[in-house]
Amino acid sequence: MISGEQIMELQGKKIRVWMRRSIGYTIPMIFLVLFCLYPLLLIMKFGVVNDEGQFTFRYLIDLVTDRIYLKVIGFTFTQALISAVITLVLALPGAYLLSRYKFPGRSMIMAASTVPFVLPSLVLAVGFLGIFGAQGTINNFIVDINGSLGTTLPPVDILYTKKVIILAHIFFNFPIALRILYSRFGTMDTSLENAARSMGAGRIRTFFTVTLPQMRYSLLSSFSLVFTFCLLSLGVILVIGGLNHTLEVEVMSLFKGLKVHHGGALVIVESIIVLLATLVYIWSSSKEGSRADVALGEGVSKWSGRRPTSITTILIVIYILVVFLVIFAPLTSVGMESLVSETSGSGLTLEWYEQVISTQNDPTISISPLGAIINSLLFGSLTMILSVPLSIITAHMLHGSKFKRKWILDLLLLFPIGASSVALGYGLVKAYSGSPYHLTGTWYIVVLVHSVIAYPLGARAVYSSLRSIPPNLIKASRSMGAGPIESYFKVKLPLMMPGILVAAVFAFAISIGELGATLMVSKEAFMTMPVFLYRMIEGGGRHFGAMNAFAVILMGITFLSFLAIEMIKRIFMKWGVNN
Amino acid sequence: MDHDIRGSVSGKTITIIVILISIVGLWILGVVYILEQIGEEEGDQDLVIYAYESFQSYGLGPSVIPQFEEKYGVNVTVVTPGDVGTVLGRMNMEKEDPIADIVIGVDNSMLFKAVDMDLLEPYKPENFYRLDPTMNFDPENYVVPFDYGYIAIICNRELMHERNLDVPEDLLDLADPQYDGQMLLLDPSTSSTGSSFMIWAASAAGEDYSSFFEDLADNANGHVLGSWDAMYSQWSEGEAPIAISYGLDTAYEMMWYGTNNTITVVPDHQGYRQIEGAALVKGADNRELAQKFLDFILTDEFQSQVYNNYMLPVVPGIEIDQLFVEYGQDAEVHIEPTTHQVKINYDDWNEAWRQAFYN
Repeated sequence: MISGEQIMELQGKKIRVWMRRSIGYTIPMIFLVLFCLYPLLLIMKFGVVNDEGQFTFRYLIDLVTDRIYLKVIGFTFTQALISAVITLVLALPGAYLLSRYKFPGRSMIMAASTVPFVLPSLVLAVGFLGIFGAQGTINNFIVDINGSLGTTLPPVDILYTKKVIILAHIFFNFPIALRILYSRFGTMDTSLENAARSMGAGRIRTFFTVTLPQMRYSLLSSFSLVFTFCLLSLGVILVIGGLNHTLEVEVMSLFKGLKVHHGGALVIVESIIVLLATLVYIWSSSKEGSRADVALGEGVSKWSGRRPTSITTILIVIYILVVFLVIFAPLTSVGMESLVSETSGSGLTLEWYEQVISTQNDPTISISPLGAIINSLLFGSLTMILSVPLSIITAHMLHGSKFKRKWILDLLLLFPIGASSVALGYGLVKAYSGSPYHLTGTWYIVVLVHSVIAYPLGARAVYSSLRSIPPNLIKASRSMGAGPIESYFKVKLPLMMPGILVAAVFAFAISIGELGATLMVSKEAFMTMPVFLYRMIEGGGRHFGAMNAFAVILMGITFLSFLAIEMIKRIFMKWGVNN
Repeated sequence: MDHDIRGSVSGKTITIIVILISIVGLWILGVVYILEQIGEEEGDQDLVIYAYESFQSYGLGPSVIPQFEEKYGVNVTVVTPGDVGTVLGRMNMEKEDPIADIVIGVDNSMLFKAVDMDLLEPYKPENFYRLDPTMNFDPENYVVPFDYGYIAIICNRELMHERNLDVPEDLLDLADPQYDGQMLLLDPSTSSTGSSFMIWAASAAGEDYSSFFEDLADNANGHVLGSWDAMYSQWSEGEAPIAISYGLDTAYEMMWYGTNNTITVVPDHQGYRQIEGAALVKGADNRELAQKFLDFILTDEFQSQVYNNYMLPVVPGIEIDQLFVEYGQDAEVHIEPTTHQVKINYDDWNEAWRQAFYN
């Protein structure tokens, strides 16, 4: 017989689970709905409602019957696909090497690899010009070898072509793919790998037949992210993409041309494409089932200590060289540019850095460079504090959900990642500028917007880690007498740490690098580093060198911040292992 | 059950959690306090001006706004969400309850759009007679012009020489095959300078604008950029010898670098002036002060400062910088269309441009 007390208890437990779940769903969703979904829907509404307030498909039909828009849609899709595949292929070995071998400067590389993520596209253009431009390193090199062939055009002419767009996308998205794959490799259950190796499979064979299949979910997850980012590419196209417009560029054109109805309609079309891509991703990730999470794993720490053999050392070195060319050479080129004097032939100089400091007295920039740096760090830290817990809660919801619910959640989480940044900017103004909720110009709208953009990204990363924790491990810790809280903090949380770290890094990086929405909702006094940089860029030629110098400062601060996050992670991991 | 949960957490874990939460909490409090302080420094907003970014970054704003503030003892807030297109796009979103009182940067290429969308309200300042009558591009007085500059072809002297290219004499010359792959153009749909250029090119070509656009597209070879600042910096780095920019670019180069590598071409019989204006926002909260600001625009105090924008004053008799006199050029014949002409033709021009470049 079940006693009344037991029934009460059972009911109490049910209520608690229900409460926990509804709170878990509600809190992240409130943010998402208020600061992303609602503003976006306001913009999309323009696309199907005319000035008289009547529902119409006219604008949508205009778009899909226009040959040029169809071409744009096709190109947007193809370039995203190609960029995402190459990015993943390039990031995979890096993530593997970084997670499996110990070598000096590993955390430095991790921190540095995140830097491109925060770089404004105009600075990227400087970097790319320095390498691939008509007067860039490659062309100068070829001309030096062959001599001038009498041709008036540069031998390598890839600027403004589709090729350079893909290169730039790899440059920007490599860090994302690397981070996610790295965290997955790090938390992966290695017992299968060990088994395969002990049964005589070679390392490479093991990698392709055992390790890689276990990575499917993470591969898909990073593919879908990178694909979506490339789909929504804007800045790269504007500065070096030439006539190869993406949908986002067309959205921007329409809103600047005050054609809000067609703009709204194009945002709908764009969202549908992002949606389709995500559906494919959700569908295939559901097929994967839970096969990847098998036996009790040995966790993270054991693998990361191994020293590389000599062949792998060579491989690592070759790989690093390749990555260096694509990712770090453009950055280096910006660095060089910041040290070269405008007046030709006078060698290296620090004058641009002096100019950055002297903007303190420049009436055109109402805030000192230090002020902008401080603002960025303040916003970055608040964004991190707000969005990391949101990421963790959401990841648990994703993990605990049955397929049906997870499906909807996955879809909702897509919105901030897959939202047109142009539409989001205008939508936020539409929703929160003027009565009744006048939030533009406050500090919290900046933090809220940054967090909403960041946390779904983090949630996916945390989820990826969470998924790889064998459920038996938690059960084991519980059976050994740990309470749910104890076992959560001592077993689960440390195992989730790589994912949480990714969430923190993304949150910080997005906050520090975000420009479009910040320009729309922020105000002069809250100028962040990218806005400061934008002000310098718009200041024209006299700030050009100083712009590069400030870009280097932006990169440096980003790098140091990520290094600090790595350090904090280490402390946490130690705490988790020792306890 | 609750008792069990608590009982099983070790004291150490609790301590660490509490310490962590306190650190984070203190951090939040501190940051919020600082941000509140920073936010408050700006004080009251008596007048809100929306302007394009370079109004502030070039220095025109910072040199005239304080004068106006002092003159009337008021506090002016300038908001710069991006270029003019973005500014108008934002105003369009705030139409029902406008934040801005004044918008700065509505020029003769885009005034019709702003009027079409019902964003502006006409106002004729009492000192309007001071305006050079040829600068008055708006018979309905929606805008008060404040400065102007020629749209021009700029050439990199060194590269032109190196590549043996002739300096183009007028706009139609750009269709010549010798310039194939030698120029950087601007996208009219994302850049306001680009939009001025498109109108200029259409006006210069007359009836044949479609085929001229085709020729331009052939010669541009895909080198079309989305924003003027990206184009200018890439042109400065030598990506191509020819680009589209402003008539005072040589003077600008002399001023900042002391070099003269820019050949600025303002064709004598094809002058196109971009005339920029300020306007009263429809439904503005601070109308009276906004009108005072529009009156202020045509005073000597304001007009003597427009050089900061690398543009020229619209009131005759204002003294200008010697470099501007020396390196600036005037066209004899001006071909800018009236606002009405732009309004009725813009969509056709734009469509022809799209077909030529993107098809």
